[in-house]
Amino acid sequence: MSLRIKTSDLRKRMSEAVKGGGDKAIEKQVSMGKMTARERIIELLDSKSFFEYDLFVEHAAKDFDMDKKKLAGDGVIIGTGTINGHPVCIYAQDFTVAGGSLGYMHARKITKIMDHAMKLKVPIIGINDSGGARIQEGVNSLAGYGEIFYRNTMASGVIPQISVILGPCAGGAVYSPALTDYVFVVDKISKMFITGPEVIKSVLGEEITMEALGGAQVHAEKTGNAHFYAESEKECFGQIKELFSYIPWNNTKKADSFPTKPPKTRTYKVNKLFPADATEPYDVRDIVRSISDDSKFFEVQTMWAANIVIGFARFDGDTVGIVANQPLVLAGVLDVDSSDKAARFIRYCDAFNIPLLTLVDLPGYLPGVDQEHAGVIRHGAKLLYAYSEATVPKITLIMRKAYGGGYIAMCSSHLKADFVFAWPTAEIAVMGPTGAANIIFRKEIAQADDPDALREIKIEEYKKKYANPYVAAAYGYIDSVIELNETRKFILHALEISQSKSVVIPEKKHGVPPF
Amino acid sequence: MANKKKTPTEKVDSEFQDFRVGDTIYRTKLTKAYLERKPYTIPNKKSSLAFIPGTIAEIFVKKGDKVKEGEIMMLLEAMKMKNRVIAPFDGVVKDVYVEVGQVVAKNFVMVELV
Repeated sequence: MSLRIKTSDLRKRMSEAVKGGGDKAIEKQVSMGKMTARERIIELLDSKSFFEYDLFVEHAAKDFDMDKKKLAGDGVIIGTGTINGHPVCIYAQDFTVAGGSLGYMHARKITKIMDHAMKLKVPIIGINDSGGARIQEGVNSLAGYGEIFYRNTMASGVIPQISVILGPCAGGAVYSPALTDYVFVVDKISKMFITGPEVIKSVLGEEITMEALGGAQVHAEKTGNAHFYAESEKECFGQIKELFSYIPWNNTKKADSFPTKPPKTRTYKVNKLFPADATEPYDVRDIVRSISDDSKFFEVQTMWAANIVIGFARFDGDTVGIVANQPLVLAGVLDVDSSDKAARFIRYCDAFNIPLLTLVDLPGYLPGVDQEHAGVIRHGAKLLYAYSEATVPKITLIMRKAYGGGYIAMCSSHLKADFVFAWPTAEIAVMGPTGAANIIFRKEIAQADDPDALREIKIEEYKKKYANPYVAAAYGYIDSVIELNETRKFILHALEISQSKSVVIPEKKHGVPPF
Repeated sequence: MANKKKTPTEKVDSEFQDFRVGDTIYRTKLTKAYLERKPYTIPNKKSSLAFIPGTIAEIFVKKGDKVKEGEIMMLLEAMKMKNRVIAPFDGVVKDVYVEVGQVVAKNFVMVELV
């Protein structure tokens, strides 16, 4: 055979393989408002940067007449490319091929590209669109999932792992996204659950739609399984690219630096945005924007546990992880979900060399039987653990109230914050003035001729004496009490001089955090 | 979604509600999760609730029967297991609220004793 014939044979084989499940299946995929697996990869990666491997892999199933079937690429596309000019490894399950079901070779392709990502120390992106295990391949399919989960765990904290849910992701399959750093979902397209509506109905008699059980909205708002929610695949890919601009390529690197830009202080006037009265609400994200480069703040998990805000901003061009109590929602209390949300983000930032800036304004923990019984002790402890364990530069700004356990948990100097700043409006105390006065002066108040009048006097007394940053500053628990419009200056300096921070932690295999 | 927000949040007073933590009342927004939380109720030992959703497989007692502590009153089949529903104390069956084959949701009252 001549070179020409061999080349045309290769081309023919390739053109067949890239068709995936064929025209009909592709038509169906498109009619559901979904892109095909290959279109998704091309849309996400830098133009013309995608190189594919294992295009000619065939499935290994023998039983149930599977040996007579041919499945293009075994239902998954793997390859490498670039995003924002940096290398990434990527795989995308192809729903048009046997419903994207995961068989032995399908899993082998995924683990192959994951192994590449680990060797090359570059991020791995998984686009999930699969009906689940390929039943015909039985235990081999389960083995495939297990091999993926193991690699997810090993890669955790070494390379960024991104899961994009663009179709069903059900049963055991959902544990791979759950083990990765960030999960992206798209309205009406993403569906994640352990047991689907049919099983729930047949076993338990509970009727629920797929969307209500595990749709994008549910995971973005109720379960916290998703980190980013988009209304279209295109918007989702834009979010991924933006995220990649803030994070480093692996745990030995720093995120890209950008030219520094001052905040838009004419739009975000901190003196106007911030009410000094500790009972008044405001949006803490605007405070972040009043001090960050170009007033940009890239928020993570915007809908779930909105009483705490997490996300990325830049200071002097470098990425900083933000954790902030949100007085706009539930007065910014800590509870089970907000503790989980913040703790995981802190550990992410610490693993990937991203300094932490904590903005504090909280009345404490959310009271209630439901919280206690949901294990707020165990969940709240995660926050203490994550902050204590983190060795990246830790800067804390106490804006207003910092009461009790909440003060300690929000990266206080006792958990080894490097710099703790406070605004003159800060109130650092064991509890709010009213509660404290009621306890300390209980007897006096009870014995007074006019208890209510005395209570008011005592509350005012306590407020004057203790509801301020100066008691804590007198002990050196606050490093500097600063004016509001000096904040950025102090933060920039603190970040600059913390660049070569190094902390020795006791030698250990790993800790035992209150998971 | 909220990433798109580029201007400071406008204050809309009607959105905010009073929210008490300790002895202080804060003005803030409440979340769906907070509003939907289940208030705590003291458990009633006299009612046997389905601890798991399932199907009533067998019933061994009827209204007016005397039961001894530890006696099996019915079988609740769930997740392929036949779970015994046991009398928590010596008593009399006040009423049985389920029949064989009935699918019950979690916390459904199946039988009550006096």
